[in-house]
Amino acid sequence: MNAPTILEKPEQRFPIDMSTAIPKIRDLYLSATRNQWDPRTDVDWSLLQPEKIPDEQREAARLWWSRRGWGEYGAVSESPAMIVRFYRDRLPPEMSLFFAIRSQEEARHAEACYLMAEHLGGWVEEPQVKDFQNAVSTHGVRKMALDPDTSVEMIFSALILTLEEYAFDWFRLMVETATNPVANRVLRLIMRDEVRHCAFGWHYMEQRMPHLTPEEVARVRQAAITSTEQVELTGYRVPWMAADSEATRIENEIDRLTWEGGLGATVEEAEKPVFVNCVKRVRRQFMGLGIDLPMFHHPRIGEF
Amino acid sequence: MPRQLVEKRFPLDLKPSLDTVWTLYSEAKSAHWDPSRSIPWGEWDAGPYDPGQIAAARRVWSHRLWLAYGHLASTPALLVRFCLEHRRESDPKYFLSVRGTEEAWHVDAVSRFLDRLGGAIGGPDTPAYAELFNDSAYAQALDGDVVLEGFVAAQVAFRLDLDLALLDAARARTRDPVALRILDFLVADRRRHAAFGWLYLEARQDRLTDPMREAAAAQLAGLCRLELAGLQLPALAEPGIADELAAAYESVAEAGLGAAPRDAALAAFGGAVAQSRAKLAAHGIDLPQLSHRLGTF
Repeated sequence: MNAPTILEKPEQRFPIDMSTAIPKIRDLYLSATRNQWDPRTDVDWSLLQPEKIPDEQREAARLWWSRRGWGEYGAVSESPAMIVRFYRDRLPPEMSLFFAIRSQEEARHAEACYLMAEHLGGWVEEPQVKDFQNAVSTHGVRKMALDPDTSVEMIFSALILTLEEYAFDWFRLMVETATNPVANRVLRLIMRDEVRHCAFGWHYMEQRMPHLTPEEVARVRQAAITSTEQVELTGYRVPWMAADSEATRIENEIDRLTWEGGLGATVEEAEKPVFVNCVKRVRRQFMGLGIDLPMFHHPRIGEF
Repeated sequence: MPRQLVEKRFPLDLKPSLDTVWTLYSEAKSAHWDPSRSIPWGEWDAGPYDPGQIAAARRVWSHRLWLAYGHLASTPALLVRFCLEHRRESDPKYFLSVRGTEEAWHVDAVSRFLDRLGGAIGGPDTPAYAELFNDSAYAQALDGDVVLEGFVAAQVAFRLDLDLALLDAARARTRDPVALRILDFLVADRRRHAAFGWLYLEARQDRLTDPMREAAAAQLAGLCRLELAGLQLPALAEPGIADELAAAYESVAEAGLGAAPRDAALAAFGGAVAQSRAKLAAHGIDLPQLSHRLGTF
């Protein structure tokens, strides 16, 4: 039987209050409006020159960009659910306005990844190894968004303040290491949008934290811990963090070849220090909200 | 209780497959605008209008905001629904992501204009009129028991065609440069949004079944009850439900501030219903004659 969701309660549209409650989020919405881009026209695809890329690297990059597309598509199918939640919870309108554009940004990220894969030999519709499907398919945002027992603050803690922060530093590292001009351009354009996505979460939480009860704060903290330990550190974003398996080894090899070709991706030795520093930064940011995140442990990193 | 759908993401095809919808998506991407910069706000001058006309415009544009505001939730819900349906085409997902952005801009642009008219009014005067807006379209979109094609026929093709016709009629009578420019953008975007509904039905024509057609007809019947009660056209509301709003439309039409007079709006409404009926009939979906004290549509 289905668990109850926010959809059961009848709509109550009025009163509508259009006043801005969080000016920083309003500014992010304006910035997103002014920074529209189109994967078809804002990338010079002729510079990719796939014929000059060694076959092994090109094939790996094709698979990597397809995998990246699966991840971006996840946001296309999940982040719009957050708008429904904002609407039902009568949250400030600038949040829905921003997230509407964010949903389009996720779609153009997916489109850009699809185009990269197509130019590199063809989009791949599913993971080669079925075991990998679960790792990349969802991190449960849609279910959380519609669950009345999961607060918006918990969702942001699990999704934006942690997972998206980790992803942002990953993109920054890839921008630094991707030498192919088209791969670099696409990564850079995506990262430009991701800056806003991360900032949104912190702006909202700064405004909300003073209003939360100690119990609610504890749940926000636990959401961050759970998403870090059970999603990030199990290899949702990068396979080098996943438990060893045939699927993991295949995906790691794809990442290495793509990275060596300057076509995107990272590898364990390059990303590990960046990730550890990122977690330290996130921990400091949480501290700024009055939340003390614990040390984490991963078999390939140790305690950090 | 709405039936929740479970996503089965793979195999995931992001390749464009519906040329007509893909073209709309491409057009939308290149037609982007900015409510803060694309409207000639500096040309706004309340001077030529008397206080009664400004107050009426505040009502009319608030009504437009109430309508637009609902789409902020229903369009993302529809996008999620397309993603939850296994192996649905990618083009509608891309397109709906842009439609969501455009509807955010609609809310923003209308809200900015309302700031100049004295501020948005939070809701209708009467509970009976307010209730028309609470149709939970977002919940319908996410309900696995609601046939997607029926939802598209009713809530996208038919509903947005009505919206488009009424906006177009309003634009034709608008002289104020700020109101006119806002309506230009609303009409251009809505034309694509409504077209998407019809093009998608066309694309799915071969897969429409009789139960789907019946579901579409039932959803249309429910929506028509709301429309005939004055949801988008307050002149249709029963006396005592939205009288001041209906009167405001007349005043705003006369002032050229962004509305059509009653007879022109009724003609636009009737024309859109007739056109929708013909297009729906081509798909085997029945939209009966709509009887109302002001006429049959």
